[in-house]
Amino acid sequence: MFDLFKRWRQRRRAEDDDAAEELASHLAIEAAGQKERGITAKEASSAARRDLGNLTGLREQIYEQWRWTPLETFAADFRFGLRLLRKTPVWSTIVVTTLIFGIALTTAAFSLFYSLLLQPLPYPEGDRLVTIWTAAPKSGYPRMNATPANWRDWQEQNRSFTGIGIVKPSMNYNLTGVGEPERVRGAKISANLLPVLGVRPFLGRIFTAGEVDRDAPVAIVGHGLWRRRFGSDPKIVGSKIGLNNRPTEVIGIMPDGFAFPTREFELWTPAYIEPETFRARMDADYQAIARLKPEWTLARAQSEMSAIMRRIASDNADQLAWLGPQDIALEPLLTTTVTEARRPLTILMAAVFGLLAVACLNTGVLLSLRAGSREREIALRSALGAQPSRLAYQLFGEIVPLALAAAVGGTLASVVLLRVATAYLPVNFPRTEAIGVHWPVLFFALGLSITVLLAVGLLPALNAFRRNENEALMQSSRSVAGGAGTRRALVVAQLAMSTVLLLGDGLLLHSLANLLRVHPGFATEHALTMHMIVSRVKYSGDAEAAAYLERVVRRVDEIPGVLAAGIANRLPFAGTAQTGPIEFEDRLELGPIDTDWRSATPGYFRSIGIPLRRGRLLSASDRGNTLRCGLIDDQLAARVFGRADATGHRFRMAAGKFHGPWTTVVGVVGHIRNDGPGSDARPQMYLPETQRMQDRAALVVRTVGDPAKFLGAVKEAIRKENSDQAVYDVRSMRQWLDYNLETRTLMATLLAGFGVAALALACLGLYAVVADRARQRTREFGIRIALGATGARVASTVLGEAGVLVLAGLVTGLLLSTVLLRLITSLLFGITPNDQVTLLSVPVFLAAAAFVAALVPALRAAKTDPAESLRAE
Amino acid sequence: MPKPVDLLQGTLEMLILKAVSLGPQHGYGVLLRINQISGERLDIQQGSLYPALYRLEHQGWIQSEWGESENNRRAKFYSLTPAGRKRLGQETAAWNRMTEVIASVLAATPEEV
Repeated sequence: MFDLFKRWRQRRRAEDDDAAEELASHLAIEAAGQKERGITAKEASSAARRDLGNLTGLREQIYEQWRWTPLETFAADFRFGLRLLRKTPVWSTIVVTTLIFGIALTTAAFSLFYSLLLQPLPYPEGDRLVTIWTAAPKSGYPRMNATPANWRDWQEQNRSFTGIGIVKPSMNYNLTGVGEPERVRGAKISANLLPVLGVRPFLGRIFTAGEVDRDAPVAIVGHGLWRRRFGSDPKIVGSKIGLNNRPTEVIGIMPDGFAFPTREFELWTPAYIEPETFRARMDADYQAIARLKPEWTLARAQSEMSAIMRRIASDNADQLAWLGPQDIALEPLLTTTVTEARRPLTILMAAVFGLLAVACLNTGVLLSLRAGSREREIALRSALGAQPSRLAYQLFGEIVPLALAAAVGGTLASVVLLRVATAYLPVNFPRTEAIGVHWPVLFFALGLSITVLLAVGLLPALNAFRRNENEALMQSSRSVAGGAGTRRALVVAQLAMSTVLLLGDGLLLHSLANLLRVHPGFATEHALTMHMIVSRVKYSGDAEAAAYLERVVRRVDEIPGVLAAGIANRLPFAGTAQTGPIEFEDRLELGPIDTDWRSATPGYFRSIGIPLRRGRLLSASDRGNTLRCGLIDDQLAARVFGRADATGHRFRMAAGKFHGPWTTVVGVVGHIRNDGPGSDARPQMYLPETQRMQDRAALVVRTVGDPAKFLGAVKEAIRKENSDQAVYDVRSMRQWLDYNLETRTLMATLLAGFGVAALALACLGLYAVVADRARQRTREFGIRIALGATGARVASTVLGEAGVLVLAGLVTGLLLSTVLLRLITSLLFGITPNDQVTLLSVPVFLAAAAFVAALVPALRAAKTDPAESLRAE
Repeated sequence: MPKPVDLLQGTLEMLILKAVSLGPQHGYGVLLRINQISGERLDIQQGSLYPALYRLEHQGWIQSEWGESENNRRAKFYSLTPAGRKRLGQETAAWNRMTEVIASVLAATPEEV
């Protein structure tokens, strides 16, 4: 191969020698011919030369006809570029690192974006899967889950879908009998759900309709669980495991990568629905997923389903009228899955692109400066006959090693970055199992690198076209005239971009601070929380189960250092669940009021720090056979009874035709923000566990000092009561609250990082441009100082110039922000995009940083020695 | 001298092939020959000759050989290859066709439209 190349070069050289000789003989022949006409030899030969033109140019033209020559030229430029880079290692490192950083970050972010939002679902023809939401806007629920009754009616009446399946996520199972008890997240599914999705277990089979109808003790196990707990043993299919103490047969194992509804779910059981639930049209806990028939469009299905829903609502008006007018909303399953992540990811992408832009601009400035210092060389070559295109190509070729290093380094770094980032993603981020490096992402990285190369290399190349030769040759060797205006514009752009990023981050930080400051209504420190599921096989009766919980609480109470312990079925900030309307006997005209329904043990309120306002708390004497009693919060009491005493009045749960028993208010407690610090949606009501037993139990333990120290003791106390009890989601209350704000915190932190990085780059660019300009004016400064100006005066001139750039950048950035930051309004809490604190502090911060950057050249200018500067040339 | 004609792009190579087809000739000679045949109406830019010659040789239409010129100078003589002869014929035919079509268009009178 190399041999061929050598021979090719030999032939080319031979031809070149030929051409040289031929041209020489051409001149001689022509001169001889002219001489015959009587002109002198000398005149004849110069006339011949004039006619022929640029000899070397001709030879070059012939030379370049050989096909691979452009490639050779490029290789030479490339090598020259490498040499240049080696000559200035510091500069090169800065530029390459900046570019690698920018490309890696952008590629990693795009990889996230693509994996989570753009990649199709891993089901066959996944784009035909839709979620069927019920919409009952009048009752305060724009999106509702499906009730089994609705599901049955939809199945009977629809023509749009090949099948509708339902799933009840959030089933918690205590996995027992195989080592330490573990809580496993499972989902109840209808028999047709897996066929609707289009997946099969890779070992075993799916549920039969019969098994679902009789609540058979069967389960399908997920791949991860199978690998982790059962050692990937295929013989587990057909054998029994203990789920909530109920022996359950494993009938199938799902393939690796199947993560439905999310990757937290590892078990699937039949969704047995009692006939009463169908009759009462209750239990809106199910997600309905349907597959569109091949020829049907979403719009067509939507209108059909809306009509069906209207029919259902009118046919069952007695049960459903309380919800108001209902409709159906169809949503592609992909959208449902990633909805929560969409906004933060989009903002992240925008911020990352902003940072990349700053990195490119910075590199462009630095490259432009370097090209400017070669102005004389370029002007000289141009005057000697170099084509502008040739020069432009060369300057471009010199960039290539730089861009290549950045592209390769950036792509590799992005893979590493992605791995790190995935580990830090909030646990509840959807589709994290789908994250990886895919072909589209690699193409993206390639395209990005090329774009960066163009963006960064174009500037010096363009300058090569534009400069005025004469001017460049006449300039003193240390001046850099070309492209100064463009460079200043680039610096302004960088400053503007940094302003936008920092303003956005400032707003997010301020919102976060506001959220952290909100008092949620309960105690946030010195409390330990953990969750349990009560096994109804072991404690089948409500009274038994309630007594079990009481015993657990009593044991925990006895631990020295525990101030109080209690259980509720759900913690605050655990999502919106267990809500429904209640009505008051003496205020029926107010209509049903939507509240959070909670069941609690007496000690709960003290342990979580909810104060008692009036009356009494729940007590141990409230049993299943005593007066039905409950607590309401002060917000509800004020709303319904005003300043009058709420205790003694009665209320009951009332949803459509369903009514709970009349319950007497025995106390009023403090209101809490149940959905999150940012929203105050509903008031609460509490019933004793002994009167309304719930399987789910969240234990709250109030401790002296650090709650983490008590973990072992509490777990031991629980184990002593029931060795089979699995405990999960253990956190201190502080951790629980932070977990709730995890995504926000992450975003604010990331954006802060980007903003600071962008600012650092912008300041670097500012420094380079200001220093360069100051160097240009060294003579002028020298003269001024010699004539009596103080160093401070000179320094302030330099700072003044820098100040203009900073001001321009700030103003541009502020203008851009008014448009761009409107996009994050939905993420703000307690402030608007025009928040004064942020709008004031960010520009000050930026100006301070820029000041420091400009200070160095300013001080250097102030110390200009007039004698030296005038001598230097 | 009659009015010189501007050379259309791409025709240079065709002219060189024709000039060389009349007999082997060196570069300067090709120029003279073209000038001569055209009745001194065509004056080729000297600078474009040699790159064109080398291009034609790379493409295989002409071949070269070192020889001696009239005044005993060493010069490279170009001659037509069989493929080149065929090519010249094709180019000439194409040229004639094109000029005929354009001439007929340019000769159109208002009544014919």
